[in-house]
Amino acid sequence: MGDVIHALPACATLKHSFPGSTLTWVIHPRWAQLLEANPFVDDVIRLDRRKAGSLADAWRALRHSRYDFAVDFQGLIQSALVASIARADRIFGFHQSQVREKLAALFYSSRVRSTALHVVDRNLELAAAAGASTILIQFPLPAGIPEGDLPEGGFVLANPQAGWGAKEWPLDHFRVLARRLRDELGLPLVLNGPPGSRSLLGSVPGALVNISGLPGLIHSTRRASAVLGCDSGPTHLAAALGKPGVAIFGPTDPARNGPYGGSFTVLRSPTAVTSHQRRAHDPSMEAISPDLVFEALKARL
Amino acid sequence: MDTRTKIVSMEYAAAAARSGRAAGKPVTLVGGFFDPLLAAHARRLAEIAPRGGALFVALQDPPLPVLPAQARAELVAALCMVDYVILPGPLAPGLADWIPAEAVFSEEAADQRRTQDFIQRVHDRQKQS
Repeated sequence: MGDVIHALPACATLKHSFPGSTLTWVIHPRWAQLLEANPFVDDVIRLDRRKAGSLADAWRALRHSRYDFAVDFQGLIQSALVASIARADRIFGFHQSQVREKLAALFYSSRVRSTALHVVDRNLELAAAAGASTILIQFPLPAGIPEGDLPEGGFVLANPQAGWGAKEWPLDHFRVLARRLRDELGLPLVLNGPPGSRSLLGSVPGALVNISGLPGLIHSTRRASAVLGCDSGPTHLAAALGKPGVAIFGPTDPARNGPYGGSFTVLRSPTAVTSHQRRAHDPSMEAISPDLVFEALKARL
Repeated sequence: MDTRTKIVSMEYAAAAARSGRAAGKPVTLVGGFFDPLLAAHARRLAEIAPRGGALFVALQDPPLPVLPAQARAELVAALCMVDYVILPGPLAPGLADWIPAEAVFSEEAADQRRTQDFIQRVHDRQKQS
């Protein structure tokens, strides 16, 4: 989800700079709803590489049109493969030292060495290298759909889960935070999660649980008074929507992957090391106390 | 055979890929850290090596290497299913002309997990002893 959200301004920039062009976005079906009603995207091709039928459909769709250029924002073999299948005249991507899978850079006709720190700005540099002349920082996201059980009034929305355990804040800390938010600010803490996470999130006393898919997450994020997250898609979604919030970081670098814009306070322990190690726990995440998070949220509300 | 002769430059690999394709043989390129080489690597390479074709392995440098690139290259080159090993370095655009994108695989993410699991197992053994 984060990759898609971080590429939205670059996509807007490209379309704005080439208004007469047709812009096609190839995306995993799981995240395609993020592009609904996006005024800068003309065509969406859904591709799940693990499904043979999906690959064949995407192949046909890509070969059906002629593309002047392709831009690979993701820097993976699979995204480079898509650009290669499209047979674009030119393929723009990052330099091999800046892609996630180095061999992806083999397939780019232009390799851009970005000087920006944050991935949103890096993507904008890539769009500029592809010829975009006017930078447009916009995150056009759909309205979302009400799902789950949200309280009537204001609430703080937390998304405790991340791609791997080391990026997550301990669940036990949410218990203390929920109590302080309720007692001192009169705000319930809503723990949001995908289907299948109810029993895990329900183990936190004093917090409400909201189970939703992507449209429900967008809706609840729009409704929330503030958002608490870690280095995960829902945090980037909230930042893109300009929501106030707090993000807790550990093994990943917030300068590169942090919430974009100025609406979030980022908390990171001085002991944190940028390792990207996919461990189950990271002591630097546990070191961020619920009291510290409460004060940071209070200042943002 | 001195399997170290399988370690070639990017340019040599591009020429070999071109020859292979010209002869109608499939070619596959795999990138990864192989740091250190584990049984899981051998199984994975055997799985994706093209039948009757050539398997190229492009070594990448992990953020914190355990073994130097030359040592890793020699270990990977000793595997029977591997035909060419390319040391870490700038990518030669010619290689992409002869290896289709669908025949390129990256083991970088999987290698990070393998290395972490391996280090964890060593730590666990040390605690037990």
